[in-house]
Amino acid sequence: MTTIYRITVCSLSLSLLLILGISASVSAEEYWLRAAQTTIDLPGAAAVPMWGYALYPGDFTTVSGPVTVPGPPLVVTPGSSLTIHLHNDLPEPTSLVIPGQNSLTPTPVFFSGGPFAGRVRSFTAEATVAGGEVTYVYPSIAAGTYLYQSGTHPGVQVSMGLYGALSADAVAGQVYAGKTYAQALTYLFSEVDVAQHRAVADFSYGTAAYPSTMSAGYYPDYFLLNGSPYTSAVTPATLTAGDQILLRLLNAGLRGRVPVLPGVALEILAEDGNPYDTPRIQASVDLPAGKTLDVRFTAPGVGQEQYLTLFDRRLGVSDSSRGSQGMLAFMSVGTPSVNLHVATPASSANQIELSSSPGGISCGTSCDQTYLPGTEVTLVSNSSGNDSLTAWQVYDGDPGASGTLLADTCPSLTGCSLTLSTDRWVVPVFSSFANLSILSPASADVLPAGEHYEVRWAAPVAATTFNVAYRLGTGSPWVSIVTGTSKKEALWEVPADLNLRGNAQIAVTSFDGSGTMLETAQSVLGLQVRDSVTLQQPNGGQSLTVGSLVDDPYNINWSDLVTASAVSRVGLWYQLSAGTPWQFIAAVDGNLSSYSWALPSVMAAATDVRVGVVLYNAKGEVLVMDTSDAVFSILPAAVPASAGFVNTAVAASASATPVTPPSMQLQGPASGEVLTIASGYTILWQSLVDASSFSLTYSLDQGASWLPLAQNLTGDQYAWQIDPTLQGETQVLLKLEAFDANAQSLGKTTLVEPFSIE
Amino acid sequence: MIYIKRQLEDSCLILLTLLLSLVPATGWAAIQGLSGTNFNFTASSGQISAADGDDVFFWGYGVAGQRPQYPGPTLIVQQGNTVTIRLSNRLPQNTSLLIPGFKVQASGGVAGQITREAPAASATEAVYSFVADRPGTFGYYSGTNSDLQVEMGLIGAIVVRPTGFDAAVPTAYGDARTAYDDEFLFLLSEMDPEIHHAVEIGTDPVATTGFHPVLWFINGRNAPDTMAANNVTWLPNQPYNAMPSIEVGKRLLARWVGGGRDHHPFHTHGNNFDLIARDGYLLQTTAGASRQASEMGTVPDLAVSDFTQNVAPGGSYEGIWSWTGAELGWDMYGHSGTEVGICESGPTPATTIDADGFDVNTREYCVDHGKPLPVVLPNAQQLTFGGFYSGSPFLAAEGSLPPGEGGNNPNAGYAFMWHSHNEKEMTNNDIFPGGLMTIMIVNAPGM
Repeated sequence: MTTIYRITVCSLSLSLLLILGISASVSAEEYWLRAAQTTIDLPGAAAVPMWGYALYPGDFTTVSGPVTVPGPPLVVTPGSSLTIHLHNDLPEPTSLVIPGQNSLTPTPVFFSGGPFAGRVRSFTAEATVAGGEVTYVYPSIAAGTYLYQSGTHPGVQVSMGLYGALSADAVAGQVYAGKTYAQALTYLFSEVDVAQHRAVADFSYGTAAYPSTMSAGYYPDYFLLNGSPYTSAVTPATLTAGDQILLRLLNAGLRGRVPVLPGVALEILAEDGNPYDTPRIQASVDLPAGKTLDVRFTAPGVGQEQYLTLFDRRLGVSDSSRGSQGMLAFMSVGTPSVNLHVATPASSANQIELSSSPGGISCGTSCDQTYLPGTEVTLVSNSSGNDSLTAWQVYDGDPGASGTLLADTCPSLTGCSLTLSTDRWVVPVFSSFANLSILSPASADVLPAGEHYEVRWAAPVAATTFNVAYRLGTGSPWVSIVTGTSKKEALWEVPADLNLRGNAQIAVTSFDGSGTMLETAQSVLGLQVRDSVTLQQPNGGQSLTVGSLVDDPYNINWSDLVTASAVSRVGLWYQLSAGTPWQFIAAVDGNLSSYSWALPSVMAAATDVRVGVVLYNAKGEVLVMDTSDAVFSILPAAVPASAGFVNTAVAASASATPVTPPSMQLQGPASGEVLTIASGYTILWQSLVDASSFSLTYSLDQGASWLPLAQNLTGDQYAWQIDPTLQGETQVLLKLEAFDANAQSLGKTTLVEPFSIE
Repeated sequence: MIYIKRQLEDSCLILLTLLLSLVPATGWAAIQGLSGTNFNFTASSGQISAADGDDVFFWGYGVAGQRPQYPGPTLIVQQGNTVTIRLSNRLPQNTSLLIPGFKVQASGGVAGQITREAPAASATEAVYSFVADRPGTFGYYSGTNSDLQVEMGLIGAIVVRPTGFDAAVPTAYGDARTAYDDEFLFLLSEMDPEIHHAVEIGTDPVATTGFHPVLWFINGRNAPDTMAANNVTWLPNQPYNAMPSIEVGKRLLARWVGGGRDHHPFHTHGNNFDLIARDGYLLQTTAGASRQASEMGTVPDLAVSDFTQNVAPGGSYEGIWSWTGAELGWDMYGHSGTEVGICESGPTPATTIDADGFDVNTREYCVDHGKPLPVVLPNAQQLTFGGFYSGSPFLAAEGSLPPGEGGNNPNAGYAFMWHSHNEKEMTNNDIFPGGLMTIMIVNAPGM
């Protein structure tokens, strides 16, 4: 009697099906298999010879399916008898064994003559070369997970790819009696030593050129999981939150593997089809060559949807010298629900690539994909010919219907990074450029001095190399940024110390393949002269829930423009309610403008939260700062923590020393600086205090008395026309005071380092 | 009193003093590491010293602002606490931290394939936070280009103390079945210096498929450096040693972590151990189930008694090891049997024999008290000596040694080699002795 075996086929993508070689999903007690040669393409190695199995849909009179490595999964009911018919199209005799399935009495075949006379050639009956056929009957199949593989010259034939998985569940949905699962995944580990495979395929194996694997040495260069090194084209298996998941782990290679699934407790139920009396709970499992394991785990529960990673801790994970990944696979807990639609560029000269993290999902032929909420994706474009990307348009709905353009979502042409919480449509805009054109910066753009800026340009296809240069005004010499680049972008470190004579300019010059100059394009720029930073989000009004996939982690975004001192690092702080100490979040590189913030645990809703961003120079001095314009809320985790998690109150867990950033900060002349009356000086300040007006005073006697400089100031700067009577003063101090609407003082700050005026 | 001193010339005395200074004083109860809940790491590059005399370029985690170290800092944290590690990176490629024994929330940094990463050569930090929800021993390592970065040295260990941990009466998992008197960490790893050299000269990418290790490490050192003290100045980037010792009749907790990519069969000469846990999960049928230990006290009921532990990469293990001399068949102190106050069966003088048959003071097996050594010791002129021979076969007794011999066993304990039983791994680049090897010294009580 055949029973329909319930693999949850619906939750496996087509690509995964092809890789597993599943063409039928019913359990059967009779299979027709064909052993034959095939090839696979591996990164850096095309058409690598492999030997694999193909499945006949019926008996040998039907046409077999494709040859796959691993071979097709065999699914049998325990206790039934299993009949396997094997047809051999290999250049060697072959046979099939299932280690651990002992109900078949093997009939070994011995070499009858030649140098190996009397030695075993096959563990059991053979199918001869060129179309030989043999039948194996296992009277009673034992429950569990097993490898089937060649029983002939196994050191070569199994290595070549003659292996596959057999599963015999005790009862539907129970791998052994009482060991239930909702979903089963099979991961078969193996390797490829390309030199060995080529030697076998061209019959030099066994000759002086390649005497044997023993003498030549076994050096696998590719590491396969279910027949393929990891590529992002494989869609992660989808798991339902809270389900029991069964992993059937098999190792058909010659090296031991140690599969790990970080963050997940693995319950080993059985090895080689032998269930343990007491399951072993481990975080890492031992999978030596030839071993099978049945391992069960519980997918994280509702509210904890995430991607899980399975990989080999023996580090058969990559061969970076060939750009190949290895024994790595992702699973997504939770059904992907956020859609990303990327408009396919009209011209085939333009292509979009996408990568996502974690999960490594990529576009493949179409970038339309569905992701778990909270997945971060990055889009990059490649163009050939006269086209260049001029914009990433990001919409919250179908641009052809009701979608609205979300301005400034992806301002950088280098790449578009999105954290997907709701559906997004991305339309990359390309334009054809018959002439050299600078895409960014555009003329009249204002750039931040002391920061990095990506200069991008477009050019017709005749232009192959480019020079880029800048000058600080028509009276200044041109300074090269890059010469002879074939890319259409260059990273420019905008000078920090400005000595502007007129407007700054950028110029790009193009050359053809023989070095002849073609064209020049220029942009005329402004350069920012004052420091400022603006916190863009969270800027007030948000309601963020700890642990939610949409809010946590939350991107803090800011924009800054600085001139005089380059920003060395940016400090991020948060405050749960007004008046409480600011808590440190992180320090970030000065040239970044976004940070992925893991929300702090809160026991109760915090509704008075602000974030502060502070820019520091290399000496650690504060340059400028900004805080949220209005308060926002952080709500505690919606779902009770799973067993073992402890909800720590924010104050208890944070042992980062709370520091109060200054509430007012005055930026004036540095210690010992000499101001000239003719040039004047612009005094700047930042105030976190909500002030109606400010006043500036100065002292000439080390702070004993203060003279008025300016009152009723609003804004954050004052252009000081220095009184000529102050010429020659060498001990000048400045003080800033803030006042509320009723002229009550809110606080003062003093520049304590004296400066001079001459 | 050190009998041999009178027989030495001055130069040999100096040599002996130097050798003695290599051997650490006893009392190794603590595992060296950092305690707390918040840690700041920087990944950077440096050199380590291999015991064949070579300097090997490596990448390591270090406390932010301090040197990189191999292995990275051992973290000693408390069960139930939220542990946060901030990682910044001065290496030429992105790096990250995986702590697979726990659910880790990663934030900051940039998106990586498996977890968030600290970007190359940048001040931007990636932040890893997890709740240490169960006690035990755990490894951590880089989740970026792991086949290269684990090889280069980006590995380390975490010890989680159980709730209610009392350093005076320490246990690994909170109850008497996992109680111990001293604990030691053995983080095992290996290196192929050719890969390190390729990275040092800027080769990118570096192929790791031809991995062929010739150096093997316990806690980041090759033997004999495993037996030097912690924090010796000539190993500035390798602060941790691996020099276990225990008193007779006490329980030693061995914490093994597979830090590299190869398995290592760790062999404990002298006695079996009881393996009590793997990956932070006790080997028990039900909570609290126990059985008698191989030697002293109790252990979880599914604990396995063995003398070689196959330490898998990515795996962590705890075992309880004791040595008592029970059933040696001779008195390990060389007592004549007429001594007063030793192995007294009572009532007068009062009994000094405990329920298991050991003397409460000397911890000797009283059935063998006074039994003579069953062999006649060869004359010193017919012996060759090892550095750990005290000159006498008896515990806590020194005998005459020719000038310059011995010296590594100042308390005259019993020395057992603890090592990888994959014998090739006891070499430094084909030079024996070396590699994954150290000496366990069992001392008399009070030493």
